[in-house]
Amino acid sequence: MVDASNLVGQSVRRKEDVRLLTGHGQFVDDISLPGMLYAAVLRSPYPHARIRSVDVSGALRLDGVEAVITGDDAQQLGKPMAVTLDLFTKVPTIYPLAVNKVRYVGEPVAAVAATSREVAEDAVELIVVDYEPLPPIVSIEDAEQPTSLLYEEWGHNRQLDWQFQVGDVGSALAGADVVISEDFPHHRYTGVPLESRVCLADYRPGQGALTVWMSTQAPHQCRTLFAQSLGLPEHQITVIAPDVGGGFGTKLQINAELIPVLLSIKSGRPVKWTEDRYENLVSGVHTRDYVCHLEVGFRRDGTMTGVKASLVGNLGCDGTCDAAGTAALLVAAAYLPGPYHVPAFGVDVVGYVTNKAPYGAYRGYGKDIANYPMERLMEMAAEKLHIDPLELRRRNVIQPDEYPYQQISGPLYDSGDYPAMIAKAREVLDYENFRRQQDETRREGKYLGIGFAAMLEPSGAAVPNGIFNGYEPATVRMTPEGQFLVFTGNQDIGQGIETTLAQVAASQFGVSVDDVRVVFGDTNAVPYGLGSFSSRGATYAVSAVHRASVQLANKLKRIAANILEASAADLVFTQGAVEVAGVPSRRLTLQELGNKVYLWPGPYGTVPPGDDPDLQATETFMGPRVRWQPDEQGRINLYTTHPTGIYAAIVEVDPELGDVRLRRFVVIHDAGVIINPLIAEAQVVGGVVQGMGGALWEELRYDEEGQFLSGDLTSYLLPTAPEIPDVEVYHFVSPSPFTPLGTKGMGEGGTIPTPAAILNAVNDALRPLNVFLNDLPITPQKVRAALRQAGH
Amino acid sequence: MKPVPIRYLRATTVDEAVTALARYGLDAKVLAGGQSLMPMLNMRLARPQVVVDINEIRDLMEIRYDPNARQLVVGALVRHQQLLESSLVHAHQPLLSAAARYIGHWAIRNRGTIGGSVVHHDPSAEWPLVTACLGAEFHVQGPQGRRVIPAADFFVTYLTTAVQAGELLTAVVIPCLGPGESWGFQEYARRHGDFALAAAAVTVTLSDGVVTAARIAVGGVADRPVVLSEVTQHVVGQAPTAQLEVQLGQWVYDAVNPLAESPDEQAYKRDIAAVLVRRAFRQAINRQPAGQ
Ligand SMILES: Cc1cc2nc3c(=O)[nH]c(=O)nc-3n(C[C@H](O)[C@H](O)[C@H](O)COP(=O)(O)OP(=O)(O)OC[C@H]3O[C@@H](n4cnc5c(N)ncnc54)[C@H](O)[C@@H]3O)c2cc1C
Repeated sequence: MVDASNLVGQSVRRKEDVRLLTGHGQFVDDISLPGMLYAAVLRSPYPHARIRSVDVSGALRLDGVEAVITGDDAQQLGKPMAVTLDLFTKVPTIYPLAVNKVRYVGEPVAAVAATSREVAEDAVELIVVDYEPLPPIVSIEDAEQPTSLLYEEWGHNRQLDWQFQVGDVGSALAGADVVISEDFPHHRYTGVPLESRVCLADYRPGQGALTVWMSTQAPHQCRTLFAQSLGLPEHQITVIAPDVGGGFGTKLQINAELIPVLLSIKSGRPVKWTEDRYENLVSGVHTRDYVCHLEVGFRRDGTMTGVKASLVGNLGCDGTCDAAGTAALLVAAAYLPGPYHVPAFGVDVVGYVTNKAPYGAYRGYGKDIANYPMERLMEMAAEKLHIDPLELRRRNVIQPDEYPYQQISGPLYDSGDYPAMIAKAREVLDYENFRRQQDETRREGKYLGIGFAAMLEPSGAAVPNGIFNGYEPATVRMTPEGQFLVFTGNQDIGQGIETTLAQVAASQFGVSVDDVRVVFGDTNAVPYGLGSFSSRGATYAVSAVHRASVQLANKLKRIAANILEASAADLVFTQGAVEVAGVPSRRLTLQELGNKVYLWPGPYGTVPPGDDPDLQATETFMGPRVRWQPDEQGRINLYTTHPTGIYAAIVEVDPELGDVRLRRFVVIHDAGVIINPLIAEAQVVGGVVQGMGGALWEELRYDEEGQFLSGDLTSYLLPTAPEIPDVEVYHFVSPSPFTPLGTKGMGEGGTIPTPAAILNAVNDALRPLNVFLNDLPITPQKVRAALRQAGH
Repeated sequence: MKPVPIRYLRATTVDEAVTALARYGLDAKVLAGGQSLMPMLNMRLARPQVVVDINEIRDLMEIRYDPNARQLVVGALVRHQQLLESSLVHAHQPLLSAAARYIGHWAIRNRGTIGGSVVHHDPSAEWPLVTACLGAEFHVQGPQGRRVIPAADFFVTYLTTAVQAGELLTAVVIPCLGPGESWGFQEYARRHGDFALAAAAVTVTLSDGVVTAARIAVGGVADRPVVLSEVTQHVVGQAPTAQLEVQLGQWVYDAVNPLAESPDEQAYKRDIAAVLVRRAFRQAINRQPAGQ
């Protein structure tokens, strides 16, 4: 048996894997109810059109069809979709099925519930919609011209408009020796979970009760959003998220799930909707899609004088109700200074609505937007200033003794050691040697390149005004038989919390992870917590579970001390028992203890005065340094912990084919105290792969008319194993002073800097050919076009 | 993603299949490996009333070597993976197994068939390219009996071949490698197993240090595989020098006129068609037995 007191930090095998890998997981699609119907959705073929009429009579006549709903039903049976998150935004009045107007290709217009999915799809084909096409708004430039409006009542297409400045950026840039400025466009891409969105809705008219099984990252907020969007009393609603096959941020809204719910209300029967891949790609949330104009001033020695940015996002049809993405642009703005000393800073942010799919969350949530332009620019600056790119970063990064560091833009950074990580990167890469090798191989016509990106990962958001407001309760309970239950609002979406939270709890009780069951995903069972997003697990959930475990452990010791006639201070937990330290004969197994309190003899006399027999404890973790009240400079702080990193990509470019091969990918990573190295490494690697996907393959394309071009996995290219090199991960440990165990959340770090590192590497490879690429994803066609233009 | 209502028929002989196909004409589809047809059914891009499953027709499952005609007779139901692994193929026309490696992934190769691939006719697919390059013949059986279609007439345009409604492709007859003949195959795709952005198949016969015969074909650049016979004529009679390779690239660049969505894409396909042919040619030369 492993020494339980040291479970934190051990690569315990994942408890959930036996179930998941042997096909015994239970996902929503595995659940069926008697009398259940299947939903299919009719979607808009137009990016922007008025709906003149919807005729559902043909569908209703088809055998097996039990209910058909349109925008009219959505208005009659429900209310406008509730707000997910509203920070400085305009909130549209919209419904889960289009009312009067469609605003993107793939927007739901009508839906059918039938006795099989096949019949439901047949029926969808029989619905006749009369559209009057309107001019589509596809690009940011389209949206800037208010000739066509998504929401006429706004009078413009801006959903978000915000400015912020600290210090005098104008003079800071004017006083610089060199100012580097560039527009950094970033394409649209998103998380593609293996399990798409799936929802089984069961409305019981008799009780007025609604139960929704859904694949979500945030069951409780979904419950509240259902109540608000349907006008149902929240206490009558239950949301259950069983096994969830990936989220990546894309499962944090209810816009699609409202459709089967409305069908269930209308038909009085349970209705299941299983999103197919086309639906997921065309209407599941999209992200990125922005242009950032960045200007950074440098002194000749490479130190920064100021940073000025203008960030313009293409939000698609909405990012406040349909999904929760708009605030990502604000997170980006707050984190643009990244890990650097920035004496003056100014940013303005605009988010435009366009006729594209809703704007949601995806691994990064704006921290990637903060990273990409800056880390691209650092490499351009290095070239211009004739300073090595790692050295340039070293001269600007925050020093280890400066933490906690108040960044100019508001965030308070907890800990880290960039200089040491930079040194480690040099060593691991055998950097000087690589540069030599690069010169030699170029002479043979082989183009190797190396690119870097520093990484900063704010983790555990606490954003005011909505579903990401940042706190987490946990309850830890001992059974009469001496095992433990951890109740958490955190959601298992494949990231391993069933194991990590069990490790944290087990460590306090001297038991193994098999003696701890983590209960999640049922709003009737667990406290109102916020789920899994924003890399918040190891910041919030872990801290809450730890504190609740400590509290319960103390209670158990007091009771055991009473029984053993010892002092609680002398007791220790070990090997499934509590005993007087150094006197193993005076011990109670946890089973004996539980039995005594609950059964034989029972609580009276067993429990000391002042205590009760309720062997559980609840603690709620709040970010100790979160500050929503702006300081005198107007700054707020939303995140509690900040993993750090230095990333490096080595690529080989075949200039004849435009082919980019990833040769090496090195991650120097610091997420504070690591609970489970195996799981932590998998988080980094998985994140890196999604960043690689965005850099080289994945793109949600629209043509100029707003037609969607990436509706299947032969056009939306996900990386597969043969394309991905081994990702080499090296951990540093700078414990966070802001969490009880020194842990930091760490789900997004892999994704954030990877696109910048890769494009930097490609540009480094092609530098002798005078080629500069500035466009993602880096396709062979784009590489060749740039080379052709340069005369190659 | 569920198909329209479909009747499913299973044939166990060629005659049964042809009778069923003749009866339903345009309303029927043959189901072979299903690796192209099933997605099209599920996405409702294909809406036949009937599918005729040919997976139990034993006569279509074999690869045979005909030593007199020096041909491989490949049954329409032979799976991609079978061609990749077959010792007959390795011995007599290794270009086939080299090309098969590039088709999708193992699971797809285990189900997908050569017949399905050529009749489906994606112009980026490997079998149309290789069979066109080698001048294969396609054996077809229909209500009017059997006919043999040469490769030059077989591939009509995207997703269209000379096989008519009611007809079944039964075999593909592929010439073996000749004496002194070697081969090269190059493909470039975005990811492992993807359909080619472009691919090139080349065979070269050398005698006394001079090219005496060659075949050059490119896939992925037109609505069907392109056999570059004129380019081939430039090459024949020449010594395979580095300079010839450079010229070959230019000839290919000039000869192909890729169909594309944008000028950039067109230029790109031209570029890589030239590169891939050049590299395939080099591969073929390098494979020549020493002394040639
Ligand atoms: C993920 C994925 C990747 C792939 N990658 C590649 C690739 O890289 N290269 C490549 O070449 N292919 C690729 N394919 C396609 C694959 O090779 C298919 O197997 C092939 O295109 C069709 O063969 P099939 O036997 O599966 O035919 P089916 O799908 O059963 O049928 C295809 C068509 O041919 C017709 N048909 C089939 N057999 C006959 C016959 N004997 N007579 C008349 N008509 C017939 C059918 O009616 C149908 O119209 C890929 C497929 C997938 C799913």
